[in-house]
Amino acid sequence: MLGFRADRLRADMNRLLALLFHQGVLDEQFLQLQQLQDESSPNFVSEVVNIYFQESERLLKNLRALLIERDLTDYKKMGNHLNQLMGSSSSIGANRVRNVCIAFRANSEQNNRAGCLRALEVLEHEYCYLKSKLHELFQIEQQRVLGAGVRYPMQQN
Amino acid sequence: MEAFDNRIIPLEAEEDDQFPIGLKVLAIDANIVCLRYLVHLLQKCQYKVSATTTAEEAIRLLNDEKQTFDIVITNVVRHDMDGFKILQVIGVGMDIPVVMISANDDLKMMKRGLMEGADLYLSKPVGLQDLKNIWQLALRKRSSRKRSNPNLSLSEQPAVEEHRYPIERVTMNQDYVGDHIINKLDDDNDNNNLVDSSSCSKKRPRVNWTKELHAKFVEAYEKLGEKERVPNNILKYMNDPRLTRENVASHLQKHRDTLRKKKASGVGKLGIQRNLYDKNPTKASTLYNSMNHMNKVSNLGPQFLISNGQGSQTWTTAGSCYPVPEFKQFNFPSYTSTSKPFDDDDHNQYFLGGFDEPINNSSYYPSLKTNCDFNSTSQIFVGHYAIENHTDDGAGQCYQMQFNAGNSFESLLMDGELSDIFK
Repeated sequence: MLGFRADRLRADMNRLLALLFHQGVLDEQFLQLQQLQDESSPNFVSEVVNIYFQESERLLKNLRALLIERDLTDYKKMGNHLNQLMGSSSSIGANRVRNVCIAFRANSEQNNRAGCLRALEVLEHEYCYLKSKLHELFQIEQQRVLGAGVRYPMQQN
Repeated sequence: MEAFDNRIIPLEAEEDDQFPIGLKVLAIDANIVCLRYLVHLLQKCQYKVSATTTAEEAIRLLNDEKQTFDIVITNVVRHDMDGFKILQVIGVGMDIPVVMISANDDLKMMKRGLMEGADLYLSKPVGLQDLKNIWQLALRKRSSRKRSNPNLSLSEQPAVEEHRYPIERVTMNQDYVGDHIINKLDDDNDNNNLVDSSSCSKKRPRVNWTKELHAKFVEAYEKLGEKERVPNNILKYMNDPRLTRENVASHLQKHRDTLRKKKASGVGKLGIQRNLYDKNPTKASTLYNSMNHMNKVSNLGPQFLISNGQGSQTWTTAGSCYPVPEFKQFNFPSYTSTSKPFDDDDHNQYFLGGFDEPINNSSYYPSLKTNCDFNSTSQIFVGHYAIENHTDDGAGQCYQMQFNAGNSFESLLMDGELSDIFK
């Protein structure tokens, strides 16, 4: 009974992960990240992911600003930002975000402003979804870690 | 050959004991997420890592005599100093093996990197296994350094030069790489006998056809009329001390060829770019290619069904689906949304339908408000966001997302033009 809540939490986490994998939101790279986490760096995943959030939001803001500019849309800069976003997304396993970036980049290389705007919408959407799901994941993880520190069974629910 | 072997194998005792543990690596990446990840990976391999995001800092560290690095890892696309330039400075100047990494797995760039002296070119995300093997590059470099020791007889030195040969390439315009290399080969055969191992970098000053230079050239080319486009005139117009008539002549010839090719293909640069994406090995593009074959169910991934107000609809795909065998047997409990991506609208919701046990325990999941501070315009499009089942199970592992259309002049939705790009 002691570990009941912890087991439940772990099951929830696994379910959430499975869901995200199934949807293609995350890919195996995320598992790699998790494997890199160990006693010497117990918060590795959440640290990296938080940096990723900060960076991505900055890049998305920049992209939005670049696209709003009607007269001189700087597609090259957009390409650079996208490259950054692609790199960081692929490093943490944010599969869908990365794929949208690829489409976006295709649009920017064709100087297709309408296409870029659409792609940006999708990108922001995907990013938000990813962020909320990852927050959930970390919440569960936190609860699990907290729960693991408790020696006596807590009240269920 | 035996003499050769004997020279390589005995490394000094101190450096050999733990090798490759303790390999000194300098990691440079403008992207801090990737850098963090890379550093961690390298530490996992038990290398000694220094890391920075700026090229300036990196060069400072390299010039610092107190530490020497065995290997440098850098990324390619940067805003401060181009990765290829770093390659020149470090790979050529300091003779340290350089590994390039890039989010962009464009084959042309990879070839260029390798031709210009990179010892390895990896695509992001970098894996642990790739990094576990980079010590081999450092080892090779070390042993080649020993070989080019002045104690060696002259006859063995050309072997070293050939090894170093690719490093001498100067950065140049992508279109012209192939031809310039051939020219270089011819030059070197003449100069081979005169060169000793230490000064093989500058045999003949090469013309670096940078974008600015090329732009000047094109300007000159266009200003002069048909009959007057001779190398001498162009040379005079450009008025650049680095150029000789021969440089201009060969560049002119190439320029004419590319113009002819462009005319012939009729589509121009666009055509070339499309082909680039066809070769792109990422899953995304292969999915886009198979966009029209929706009946091929497996691994099709999420698809957008976009309709505009007039009722016409087109499918495009976005995102790919990774086969994840270990999760295939899962029956997912249903998730009703506790977290919404957009705080405001009621319309935007995720419907994750058709599961067995609901798991909406608010005691476990305090509802999350994620603040996505984006200044979204009102333009969103109608989408049916469907994901194919892995198992054709009636219990339905089908997710749908809906989001509303806004009215905006930009709402020409994903149509032929976009899908063309994905072909």
